[in-house]
Amino acid sequence: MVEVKLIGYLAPREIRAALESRGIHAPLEELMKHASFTFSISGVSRALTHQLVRHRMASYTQQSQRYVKVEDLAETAVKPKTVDGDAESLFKGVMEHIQDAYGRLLSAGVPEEDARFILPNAAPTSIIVTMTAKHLLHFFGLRCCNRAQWEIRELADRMLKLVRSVDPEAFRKAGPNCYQLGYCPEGSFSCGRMEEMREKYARLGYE
Amino acid sequence: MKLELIAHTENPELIAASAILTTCTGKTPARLVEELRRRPGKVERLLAGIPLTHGSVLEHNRLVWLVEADESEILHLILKHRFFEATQLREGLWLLSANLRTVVEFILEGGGWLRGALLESIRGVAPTIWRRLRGGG
Repeated sequence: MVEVKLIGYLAPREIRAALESRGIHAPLEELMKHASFTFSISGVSRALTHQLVRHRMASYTQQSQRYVKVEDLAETAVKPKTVDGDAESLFKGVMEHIQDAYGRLLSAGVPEEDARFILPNAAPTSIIVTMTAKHLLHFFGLRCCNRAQWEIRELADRMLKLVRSVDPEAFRKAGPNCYQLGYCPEGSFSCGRMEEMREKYARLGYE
Repeated sequence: MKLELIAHTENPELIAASAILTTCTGKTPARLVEELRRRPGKVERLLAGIPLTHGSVLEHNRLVWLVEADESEILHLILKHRFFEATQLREGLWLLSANLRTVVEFILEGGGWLRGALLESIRGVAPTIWRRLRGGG
């Protein structure tokens, strides 16, 4: 089951308060460079974390498949909603088969770091992610977008709700690029649902 | 030159210790944070044991300083250590921030004009790391 929690943060409002107590003022966009948010993310797929770590201006610590054995894949693997009906039993059967083969490799003396080569993108994982508020805005711009893949889009929405809960004003303009910029930069790939997205992200986390 | 730590994420060593165990246990990071919060001795042992030169677990935090310095001093700092973030607040006054890994590497590499003040600024925030750096790493 997916779980996303904030385990550490320094919100822009906290830096602003520290400065203002010393009689100093700084614009929000400058504070966003220094503010930082750390998330505990678990129950997501390796397919998601492969996308996540492409955001290079962030820090990551991920559960290792060299040191943590993968167990019960048929139950814990992340299954897309589109995998249903006959596809679901096929998916589950493959996961059981992989789990069985993985166990046999370990029993045959193959170390975890090599047995993991047969594990699927659906294998669940845990990861700690830290980003500055500035880079979070960039992340939300790309990953809250309808063009983003569903799992990372759902994660981005959850992260946005969490940061809005601790600093509502700093992240009021956060969301997909169409919401941040006022226009869609995706050109011919645009989903064409800008109004719907604007309404969604004006409300997300504030209700 | 004057440097003052004015803000930071809560308990960077707790999060760093949770990151260490995230890599090698099946527990979620959030659960590890809650468990380790009740075991400060274990946090200290974990932080005392990691190689400081393999410090990616020290990146999950942020420290923010108010620094009085010349533009040339800050320029030298951010050119040499690109993970420091700087904002000029007014002539000679800067907002500077970084994570603990950046601080540790800066100090281990010599640290230049900021070394002493920067090291002393983390004494209360990251006491285990501070002790190790004071003792040479």
